[in-house]
Amino acid sequence: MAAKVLTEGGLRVVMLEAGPLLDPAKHYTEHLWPYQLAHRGAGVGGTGVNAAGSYEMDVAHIAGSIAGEPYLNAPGSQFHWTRGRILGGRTNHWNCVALRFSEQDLQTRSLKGYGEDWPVRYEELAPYYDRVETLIGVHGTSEGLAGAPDGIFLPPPAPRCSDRLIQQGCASLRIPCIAGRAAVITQPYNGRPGCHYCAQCTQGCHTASRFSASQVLVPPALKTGRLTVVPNAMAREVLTDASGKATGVSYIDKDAGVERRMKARAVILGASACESARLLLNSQSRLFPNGLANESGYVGRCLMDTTAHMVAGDFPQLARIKPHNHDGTGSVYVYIPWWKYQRDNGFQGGYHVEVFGGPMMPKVGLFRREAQEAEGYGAALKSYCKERYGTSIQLHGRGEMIPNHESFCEIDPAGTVDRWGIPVLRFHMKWSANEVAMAKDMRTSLEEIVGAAGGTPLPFEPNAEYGYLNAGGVAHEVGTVRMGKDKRTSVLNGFCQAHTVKNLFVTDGGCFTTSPDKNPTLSILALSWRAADYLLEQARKGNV
Amino acid sequence: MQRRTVLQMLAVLPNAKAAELHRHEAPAETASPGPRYFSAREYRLLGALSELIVPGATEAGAPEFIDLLASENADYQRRLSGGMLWLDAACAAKFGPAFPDCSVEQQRAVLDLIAFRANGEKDASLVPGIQFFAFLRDLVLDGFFTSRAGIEYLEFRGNSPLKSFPGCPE
Repeated sequence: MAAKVLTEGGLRVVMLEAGPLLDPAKHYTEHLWPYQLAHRGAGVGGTGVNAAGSYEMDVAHIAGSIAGEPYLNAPGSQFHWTRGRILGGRTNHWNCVALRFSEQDLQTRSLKGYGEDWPVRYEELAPYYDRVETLIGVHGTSEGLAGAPDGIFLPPPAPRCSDRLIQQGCASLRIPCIAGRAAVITQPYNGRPGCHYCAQCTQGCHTASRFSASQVLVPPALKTGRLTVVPNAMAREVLTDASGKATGVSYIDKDAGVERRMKARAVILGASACESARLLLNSQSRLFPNGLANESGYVGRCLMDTTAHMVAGDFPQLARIKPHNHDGTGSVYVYIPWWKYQRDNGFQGGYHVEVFGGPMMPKVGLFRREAQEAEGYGAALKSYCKERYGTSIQLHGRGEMIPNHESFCEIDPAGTVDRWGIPVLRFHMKWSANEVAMAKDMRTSLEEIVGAAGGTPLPFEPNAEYGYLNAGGVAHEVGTVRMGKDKRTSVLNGFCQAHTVKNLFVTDGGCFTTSPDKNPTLSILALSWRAADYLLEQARKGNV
Repeated sequence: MQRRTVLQMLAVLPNAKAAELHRHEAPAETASPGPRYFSAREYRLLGALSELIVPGATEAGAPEFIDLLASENADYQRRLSGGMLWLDAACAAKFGPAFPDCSVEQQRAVLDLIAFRANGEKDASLVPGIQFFAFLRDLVLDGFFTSRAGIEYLEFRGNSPLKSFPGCPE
């Protein structure tokens, strides 16, 4: 985002990309049938991943494990870190849910007494949400809900049978269940063709009908003639001069296997929250012995992910609908914004619910539960699977995590380095009692919705963390280079600018002060645009 | 294929089956002379078991799929080869011959014992066979329902680009 705004504003930008340039024909797996793969999507030896460590039916170079680039977890921590090493990063793969943060999300300390206040108010961010939505295209409906601010929306797609059941169930409970808000264009928009409804946004989109940075932001930046993209460039550290200003970045040219330096008047990190924290922590110097811009000690701290708890329901009535193309967009059709404001829920913060389900493309593991239920073999087993196919609806609770001091990343104290010689991260991640209490509420409420919608919730056995996905599982990690009003407890100001290094910016999710239940990408884009506008202005004034 | 080419095709063609035009080519698999991991005897047994578990699974390529995964995973090798030998031993103890040489009725009699978890609660000696069979059953289901025949059997109608999305038909 920043590269587009800066180059269109007249500045020259060099983008260091740790992976290759995007080649959709090579890197995207959209429209692939499982039988076109020898492993059918099961991965090498049933591991789920191919020889390169990527999920077989997913975008290449986006993976939890990268050969030669480990990360570590401290004892008791199980953080899962999904990394993108390809131009556009994880926007090549994302689920496209695009929700605005509200004033209540941004000022939890002042308004509700927990978490932290952001140094940005909703009214300051709203114009940037407007601009981002206008640029990328987001579908949705205006509802006038205070906690879920409306945006500039394209028409949403018509709901599928499974979505309608959940909407009916919610209506009977008087719970809002509204059109999904997603960065999928449902009609031709800004030179991109409308969605072709294959439901495979996370496998890449050849037509760029769902937003990705690589297809929507990089091309116009290149068109200015002022953007240079350097692929396969793994950043090692941010360089500084004796006055404490950033002077550029040292990086490994992965193709040549040598170290190079790129000089710059200003440095913007958009490497993803934890990679940006890692870069700063690894940028040690006499002036910055604890890492660059880390006087507060908050680089790497306050690591948060979206909490995730899923309730699946059986809806045998779905099997009675004639076979039809249920795919649709790959994002949410309907969603339940947080609705329990103004009451005591026994925990702070809230969650929203994303609805998935129905007859999706068959894949490995689809009938594990049916095999357990029916057992046996032969024609009876086969027809049982067919009878049950597509009759599950999943309600995914997506909740706020409150920053806590036990969740952070640090440079591995044992000195582990990756294959590029760069010290690696070690994670410490812990849900607090608040998140566990929220998960219990998700369980109760979502089971109630399933029941009201005419389904039967599937049995559930809670674990110690009450069925939460491991932290990192939603890949919404944020907070590790946070912005704040107080220099003593934050790294950046409200323009993503380091408090102590005026020509250094961090515009990925690392800059988040808190982690509302809402998916982060839209806010990253808005904050990044705002930061780039600010940098342009500072550059014009000669301040950087 | 170039994105522009895809767009042109999507623009020109009626919406149905445009997916055919830009879906990936099937991997260039050289026809292998035989199984990668299993012995010829094991592979015949795998084919017979696959067909018993899901009629049509052998034709749909489930044995090739399972053989490929097993060739890359020592744990799969132990569980599958070990399970087949357990099956032979169980048949021999009960009827005399090994599993492939038993009559279909005898084969089914043994499978009926190991196809249900509850039987292991009554007779603990069946547990290894039950575990093997549950594992194999999952693999055969995966192999069948990710095949063209399996997907057609489910009457899946998607993975086919549409110009507009009609929503629920009812």
